[in-house]
Parts: sequence; C-alpha cells; structure tokens
Amino acid sequence: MNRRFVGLIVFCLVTSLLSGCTMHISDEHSLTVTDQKGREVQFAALPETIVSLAPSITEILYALELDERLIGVTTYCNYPEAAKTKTKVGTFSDPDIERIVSLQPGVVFASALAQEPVDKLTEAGISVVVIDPQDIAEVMDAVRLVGRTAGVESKAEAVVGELQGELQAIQAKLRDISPEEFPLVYYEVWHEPIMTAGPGTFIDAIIEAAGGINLAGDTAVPWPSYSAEAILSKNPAYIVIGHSGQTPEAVLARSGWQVTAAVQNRRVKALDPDIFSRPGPRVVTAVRLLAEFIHSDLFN
Amino acid sequence: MLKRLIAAVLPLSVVIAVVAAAVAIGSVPITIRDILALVGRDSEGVTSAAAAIILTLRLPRIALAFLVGASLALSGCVLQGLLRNPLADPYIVGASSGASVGAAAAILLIGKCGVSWQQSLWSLGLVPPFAFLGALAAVLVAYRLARNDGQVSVIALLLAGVALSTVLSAILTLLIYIGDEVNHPLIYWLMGSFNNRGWRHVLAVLPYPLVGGCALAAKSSVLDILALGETKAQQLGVDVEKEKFRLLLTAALLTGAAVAVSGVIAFTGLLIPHVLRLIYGPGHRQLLVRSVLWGGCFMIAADTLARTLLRPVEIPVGIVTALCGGPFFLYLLRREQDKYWGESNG
Repeated sequence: MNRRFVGLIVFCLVTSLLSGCTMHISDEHSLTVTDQKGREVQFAALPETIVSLAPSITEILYALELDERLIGVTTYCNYPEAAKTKTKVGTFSDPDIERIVSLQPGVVFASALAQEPVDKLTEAGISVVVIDPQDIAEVMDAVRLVGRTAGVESKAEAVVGELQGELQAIQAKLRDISPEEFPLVYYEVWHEPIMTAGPGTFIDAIIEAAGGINLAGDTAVPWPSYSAEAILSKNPAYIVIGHSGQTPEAVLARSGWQVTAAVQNRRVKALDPDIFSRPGPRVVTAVRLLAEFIHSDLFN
Repeated sequence: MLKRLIAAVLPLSVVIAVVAAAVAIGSVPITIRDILALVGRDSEGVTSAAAAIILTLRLPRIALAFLVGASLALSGCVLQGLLRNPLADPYIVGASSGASVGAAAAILLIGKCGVSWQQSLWSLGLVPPFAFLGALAAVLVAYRLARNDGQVSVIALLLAGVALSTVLSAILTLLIYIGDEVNHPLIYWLMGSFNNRGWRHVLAVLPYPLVGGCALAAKSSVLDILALGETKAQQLGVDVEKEKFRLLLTAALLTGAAVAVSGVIAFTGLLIPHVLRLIYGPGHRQLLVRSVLWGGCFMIAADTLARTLLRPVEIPVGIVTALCGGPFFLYLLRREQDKYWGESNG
C-alpha cells in the first residue's frame, strides 16, 4: 500500500512536469493581446495573413511594412496607392463576412464602428483585434498593438519613435508662443449645411496639437451644424476647407464672411480631409500641414 | 369699418413684430441700438461684424424663411384645394422625394467625384438646381402616370405620387448607402436649414412666390368651384383638366423653389392652410393671402427657434416645424372636431 501510494505520487509529479514542459513550449508562439476596446484576444500561433477593415488600419499596416501579409482591405482604403490593388472585402461599416471567412486570415483588424461584424467574425472562429484610438497618443498605442499582434514589435517601435519625433519637433517650435496667442481655426467639414468638428474628434485633437484653437471647441456635439453668425462673430484667423464642395476662392467670396480675419488676409486653405480624419500614421502629417499653415512664420 | 381696419392691419403688424423679433434674437446678440444705428446710417457705434451679421446673414435669412414658408403654405393650399383633401401637402405628389434624390445626386457628385460647379446659377452651387429639377420632374412624371385619355383623376394622381415617392425613396436609400462620408451633410440638408443663406438665395427664390402668388390670386375662384366636385365645375364652365394641370404645375414650381434653397421642411405646407381653413373658413381668396402671411411668419419663428435653442449649434428647421406644428395641429383638430368631420369629402 505504501509503495503504491508513493508510485502514484511519483506518477503525478512526472506527469505534471511533462505537461508543464509542453505548456512552456507552446507559450513561445501563443500570444494574448488586449485590443483598444478592452477585449482579450488569444492567438495560438503568429497570424501570417491579415485583413484590414479600415483605411487608417491599412495605412498602419503599410507603415509597418506588413503589406505582403495583407490579403484583404476595404473599398475605401486608398492610401498608399498599392493598397488599391488588394482584394476588397467590403466597407468598414458593412464588411463582407463570408468573403473574409473564406480568406481564412490569421487576424482581422477592425475599427470600432460596428460591433456586429466583430461578433460575427469571432463566432466564425476568426481572431478580431479592434483598433479604436481616441486621440493621437492612442494612435501610437494602436501602431504598437498591431506590431505586437503581427510579431513586428521592433519595427512598430521604430515607426512610433519616428512619428513621436516629428510631433515633438513641432511641439518644440510651438513652445515659443504662449497658448493665449494660439490662432482661432475654423475647420469646415461641409459647406451646405455648415458642418464643423467639435470636441472629441480627431480634427479637434489635430488643431490642438498644431497650436491652434478649434472654433467649435465649445459645442457639446462632435459634428455640429454651427451657426454662420456665430462663426463670423468669433472671427477665425484661419479657415481650413476639409471638403471638395467649394474652392477657397468661392469661400473667400461668401457674402458677409469678409469681416473675418481669415478672409481679409486670404488665409483660407483646402487640405486633404483623409489625412485629418484617419487615426493612422498620417495624423502627424496632418499636424505638420496645419502647423505650417497657421504658424507659417515658425515653420518656413 | 373699424373691425375691417383691424382685420387688415393685424396680420401685417404680426409680420412686422415677428420680423423685428427675429432680427434681434440670435446666437450673436444684437441690440436695438445696433439696428437703429444701421438704419440711421450712424455706423460709429456698430461694430463691422455686427453690421455684416445683420445685413448679410440675418436679414436675408429672415427674408428667405418668409418666402419659403409662404411658398410652401401656398403650394399646400393649392394642393389641398386641387386634390380636395385637407391632408394633402406640397410633397404628396412626389416633390420631396424628387428633390431629395436630386440633392443626394448633387452632393454625391461633389463629395465623391470632386465635381464643383461653383459658377452655376449665381454661385448657388450644384445642389439647388438639382433639387429643383428633381422636384419638378417627379411631379410631372406623376402627372403623366396618372393621365388616362387626357384626363387625370384626383385619386390616380395621388396614387401615382405615392408610388413614385416609394421608388424615389428606394433610390435615395441607395444613394445614402453609397454616400458614406457625405452622409451626414446629406441627411442634414434633407432635414432643412437656413444657415449661411444669403441674398442670392433670396433672389433665386423670389420670382416663384411672387409670380406664383399673382397667378394664383386669379385662380381663387377656380379653386372654390373645384371644391364642389369636378362634374359640377365642368358644368359651371371651368376647363377642369387644363386648370388642374396649371394648378399642379404652379404648386410644383413653388415647392421646387422652396426645397431647392432650404431642404425638405415638413409640415408647413400641410399645417398652415389647414389651420387657417379651420379658423377662417374655406374661401380661397382669403385663404391664399392668409397662407402667404402666416406661412411666412411661421417659418420665420421656426427658424429663429432652430438657430437659438442650442446656440451656437443649429437644429434643422424641419424638426422645429414638426415638433411645434404637430401638437398644435392635434389640439386644433380636437377642438374643431365637428367642423372637420362635417366637411364634405367629394
């Protein structure tokens, strides 16, 4: 009885040691990431193939040189040019679930716009990591998260380092001006009816980072239809046209708008709205372009 | 005699009061002194921003609201008389769906294809002409669909309008689906707004209620006769089919012009003539005039609310007209139940 008891214990110990060994071996390739919606996603192996469900995520993937592993993008992924040649899997609010499942990607990077596709894909056994940066700092986190998931952490750190370096260079130049002297910027999302970007939007964050004050920063909604009267009386110093509905010349000719400093000094510029609305690596480009526009004395 | 004088002066004084209030109220405070200073050409005390705001934004906006409200109310009045249905509104024969599809197509062209014809029609942009043509085309198509042997029965017209609206709504939904980035502006446009409209919008709209109003003034007796039924009207010497087409076309032009410059503002065309009919009776001569006055005032009031409730953010005017008009309409219906149910439905 004694011997059997000891034999049982030895058996248990050996078994647990061996199983511990196998778990340890598989740990090297398995990965658990927490995405930007707080979801924990487990990977048994490194995801070789990637599907992107947002133009901003596609830009991150290209910045991390993961384009060879990218097998599916949305119809709106238009930057860089090469992204247009990838297989299309639908729009970012309405992706083609069947198509994605048939491609059997190692991981799908989705934006937070629609919960349903994420659920459906997870049910179908596809790993989904949600990328949802709310400000510029979280964009850097997003790049790191994508890098970690795809196994290119060092490249991700290098890209983040580059972007933060550029951002810090801009911030350094802005330190010469006190915040009270930051110019008032009116960013127009659409002209008819007038729509601008309020607090909580990326555009608002970009204006702040570029050393400006968002004219619509006092509203409670993210996409307000701002009263033209209020815009005129606030007297913006710079107007950014973030759409293709009117040329800057037409904006300069708007009746009544000549009372603004922006129109009087012809400081009305059209900038690519894609750069301003995508929470990807080009957000730093947006900050730079805007800073060059509203602080031309500092940057040229 | 005095009673008549009061009856004539009262609505005008209401209009003046409403306009004055609208000029003074807004997201930018403008005092009476500012207004008087401008009027008296003593511009020392007035900042140039305040002057610009009054002259280039607020005044044209009030004028535009009056003209749009008048056009919609007039059009609603005509259609209610033409279709002999007090629940008809300017949009019932397809005008709103046609205008919406036109505007959506224009916004998609601008937003997605980068088309921007700024020089079209006094630099109003692409959307107003597209919306106007959409509205007009829809009504004419509905008319054509309803025509049978040179005759258009009222029921056929209504049915054709509803069927056409359904098809156009489906197309609009498709355009919204394709739209994506420009969806938000498109939907805002559809809800109606007077934000940032200037004098050129006023000039673009002005001919329609002006000419349309004068044309309709001569037709008030025709509308009264049509209320008796088409056979009776024919016997009394009215060329029923011709008059129906003319009235329909006038209503379509009025609606198209209103929608082109301000979007689809619901309820005004339905509510105003109906309420006036309940209060003042169905005689068209006074009804048309009163529709113009009260339709205009109502729209000015609604616009003033829309731009001040959540200042400096503006709510679409259509929401205000529906929220204010609806309950009042229900109240009036309850109060005048016998009158309403007593009207003939021929």
